[in-house]
Amino acid sequence: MNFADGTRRASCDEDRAMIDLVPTRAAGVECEVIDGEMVFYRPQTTSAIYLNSTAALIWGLCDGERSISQIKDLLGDSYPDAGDLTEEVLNAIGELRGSGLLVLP
Amino acid sequence: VKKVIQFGSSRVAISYPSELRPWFEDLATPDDGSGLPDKWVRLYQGSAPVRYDIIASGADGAKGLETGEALATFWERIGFLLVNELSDAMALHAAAVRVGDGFVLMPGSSGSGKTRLSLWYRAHGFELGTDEIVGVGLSPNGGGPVLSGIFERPLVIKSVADVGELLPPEESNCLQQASRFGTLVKLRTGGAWQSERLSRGFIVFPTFAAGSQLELTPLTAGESCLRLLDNCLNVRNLPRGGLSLAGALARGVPAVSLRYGALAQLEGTLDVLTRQVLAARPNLDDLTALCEAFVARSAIRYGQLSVNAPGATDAGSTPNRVTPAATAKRFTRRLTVGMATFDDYDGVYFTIQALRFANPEIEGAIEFVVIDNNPGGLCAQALSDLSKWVDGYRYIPRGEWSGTSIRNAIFEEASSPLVLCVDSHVLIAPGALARLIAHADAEPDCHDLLQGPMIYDDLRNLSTHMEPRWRNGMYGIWGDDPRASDPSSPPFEIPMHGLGLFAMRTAAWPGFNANFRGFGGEEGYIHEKVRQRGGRTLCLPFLRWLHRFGRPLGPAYVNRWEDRIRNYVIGFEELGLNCTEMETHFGELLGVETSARIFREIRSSMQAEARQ
Repeated sequence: MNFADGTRRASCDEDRAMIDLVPTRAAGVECEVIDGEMVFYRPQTTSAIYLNSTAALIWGLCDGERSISQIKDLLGDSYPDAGDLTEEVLNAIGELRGSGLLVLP
Repeated sequence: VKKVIQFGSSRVAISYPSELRPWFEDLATPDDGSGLPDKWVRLYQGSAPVRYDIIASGADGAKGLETGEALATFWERIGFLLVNELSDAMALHAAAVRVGDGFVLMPGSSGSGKTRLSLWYRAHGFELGTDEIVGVGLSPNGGGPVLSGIFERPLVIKSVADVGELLPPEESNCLQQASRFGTLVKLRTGGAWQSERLSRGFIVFPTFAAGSQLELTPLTAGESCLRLLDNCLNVRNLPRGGLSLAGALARGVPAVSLRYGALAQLEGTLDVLTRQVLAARPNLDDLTALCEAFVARSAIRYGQLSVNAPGATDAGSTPNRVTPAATAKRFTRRLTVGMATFDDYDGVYFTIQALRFANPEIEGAIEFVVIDNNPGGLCAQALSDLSKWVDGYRYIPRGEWSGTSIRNAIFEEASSPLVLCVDSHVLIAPGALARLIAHADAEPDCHDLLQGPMIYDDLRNLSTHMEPRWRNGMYGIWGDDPRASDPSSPPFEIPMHGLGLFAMRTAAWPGFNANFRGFGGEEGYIHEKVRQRGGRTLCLPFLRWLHRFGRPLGPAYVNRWEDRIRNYVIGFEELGLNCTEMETHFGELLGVETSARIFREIRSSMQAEARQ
């Protein structure tokens, strides 16, 4: 599996390694919140990026202190019927990283 | 000539040769005394005859351009300079129309169908502001987004077919110029559009894809904001890349994504939806419900309309609907009035009944032949039932063949020595039929094609004929011969005319080429065919007819552009006419390569059909 930016998506072993990483928000990105959705503008590329409310929620949880695992657990607590969200969260963070909105160490 | 073009707070000085002055009337203003701006574009006569050069401040120049290309390039440079440094408003790549204080913005990249859609709105009572750039700012007192400017310019209509389809008849003679970018069209401009509140608005993001189904997708404010930014021409100049402006506009104005494949799909859907949105400003849930309803309506209607689209099914025929039988009895009368129809019961009804009302002196002398081209359709039974009420009425179901040649069937079915063939939406001047019969009686062996002046909706202006010239992909330009101003004037010869009404002795009818497909291409062809057989093509000044051009619900058939060109080629080749002028014309309109490819494909398919 690959990220949107073309980098390869982690295998199960790699998932275990990634899950403890702490994503941080990219600097220099302008954001507008509109009815729970988010639209970003990246001056470097003069490009705009749209996040629906679900992606916006995940981005909002990436505060530079929580690990991916903690973000997954928070979402799991909020949506107990959703099952294991590891795959979804890793994919979403991969997309956000590929869009230049998040940075992984 | 030196003038100034203004867009919001941005100004560009322009100069152009005096012979091009009509292209700038009402679009450019004289210098108001505040001094010419430092941004400028100059269009001037080049070194070669009828060639122009362009130089501009801070933009590329160009040399040796033909008139159309020069004008299009000139306006492109002006637009660039107007928005290049604009920083107090968002310059949206968008068309804009308005009705009352309601606005419709249509953002989209080149080729998305902005011009086509804005002209369509214009034909539905909206005032056209621009087809290219709209300025949006924020009210200084926090009152939300305002329209800060529009970039008015001649339209560039990329599709040749649209020029004829989207311009009303009274504007068919407006200033036009072909170019490789499309046909430039200078239309009348409306009132001032400066600094108006966008309190009532609707944003439509169009995508035109020929042949596609209608799709209307409501957008969330976030999705709309993203698309607005995608169509913002000056993001680099704006604080936060225009996010605040786009967000304010997206929050305040409902938006949909529109995908359509034919303008007919928009009739009764987008026009109604737009007026409802402007009137009620629905929330997203209501807008979603509205869009679903209108798409369903379009699917039902457009399914019925796809009569001659490739692979289309006759959705107007339900499996349980029985095709009415043909009226068996023939009525040998002095005149057969015939018409072909496709789901136009109203047109047939009013054409026939108006004829009976206006010509009581010849009741009993007329046979009516109605060829139903969709005998499984919704109107079939009602059309058939008219025979119960109308003396001499015959209903003939002929669904196996559609298009312009179907009118041959009128002559085949006619029981009278004289046939008057009319469109099923034509009204004829009172008393004209008796005079037509008298004219034919006086010349019982003539081979003439008889026509008369077409009256416009004002009941004053006439078109007596067409001049045999090519323009905008059509053969024939409406003309008015003063000899027809008095209905009692004697007949006179005309080169060609529209075929909404024509008459001929039944035995002399030369027939439309049976290989004609779809609609169009018969004007001029049948006239030349009559002349080659020793007849004349005449205008009878008394034979005045009124033609309904307006079709707010759209035509009940698909008018395909390629059919028209194909018919021209077939007709010209049948009559031994030279196709060079035609091919040159389409080469200028469509580009030489595209035109050559189309003609190759047409001739190839004709040869294949001939072998079969």
